Amino acid sequence: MRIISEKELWLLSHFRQNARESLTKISRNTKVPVSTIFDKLKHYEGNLIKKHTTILDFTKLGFLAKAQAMLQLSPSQREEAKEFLLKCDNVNSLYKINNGYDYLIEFIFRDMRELEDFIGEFEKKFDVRKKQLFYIVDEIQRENFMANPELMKININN
Amino acid sequence: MKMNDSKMNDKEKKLISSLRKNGREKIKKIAEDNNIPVSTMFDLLHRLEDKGFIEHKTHINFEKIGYPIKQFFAVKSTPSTRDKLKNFLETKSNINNLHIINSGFDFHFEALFKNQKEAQEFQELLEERSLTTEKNIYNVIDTLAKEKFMTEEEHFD
Repeated sequence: MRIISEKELWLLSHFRQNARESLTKISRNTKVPVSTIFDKLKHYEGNLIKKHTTILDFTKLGFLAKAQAMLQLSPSQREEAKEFLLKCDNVNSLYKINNGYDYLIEFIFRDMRELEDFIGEFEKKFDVRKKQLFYIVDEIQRENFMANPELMKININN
Repeated sequence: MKMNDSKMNDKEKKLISSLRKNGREKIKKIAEDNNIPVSTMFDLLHRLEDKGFIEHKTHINFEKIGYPIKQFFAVKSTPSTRDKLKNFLETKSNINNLHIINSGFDFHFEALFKNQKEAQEFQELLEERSLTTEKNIYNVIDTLAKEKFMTEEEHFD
């Protein structure tokens, strides 16, 4: 159930577009007073807002191997594997999923050899029943949902 | 700035890991915490931004704003419909992340929906337009970790 209005979603979209945007600039764009935006931001942090972060172009930073793996594990090892993956430095994101798999994992490594070595070691340690590995060739959109205030403004006005 | 050939320096690691943990952290605080001149940290931030190495985003609990359904799709098309599918996906506002992949599929993407009906309609649209020859869909039950790589300096090594 949605707990905020379209106008508040529009406000949030400014942070989706640029988490470091100044409140003054957002105020100018939205005509909402800075103090109101400040109060709303504080209210949303830890509630609607999970985290402000900086996303990276890993390729430009020298990490050339990016993959998404879907794994089905032996039921008795599911929890242990989850804890292991949560502690792995190179796991960027981890999701519990369905449709024949337990987890979807986004890995970031310097090169393919490091990535394949990791997968090989993981398979020695855990009973992987089913695996699907997608190597990411190019990133077209990242964190794009509700990240366009201009588009959301049109929706509000309509 | 060229980082592909060498590892990042300590200042870059400190700035990036701090901003990965909190993208709205004040640069003055990051600089002071690490005994680095504030002007140096600002220069570094602007260089990284200008070169397209970093972008700042706020992660929202989409479920709480009315989008409880999150699905991952792996889709396959034909050489003749691949560009059409890409264009279609790029214009859909409910797609959060979109990647070109290999391993037998063409695209992998994350989509958000208000309800099951909306999710079903999206799938039907893909079928009606004959954009995909194969698609696998996975519902996200829980997000266990998100964007955690490089939140600590040791991840860079």
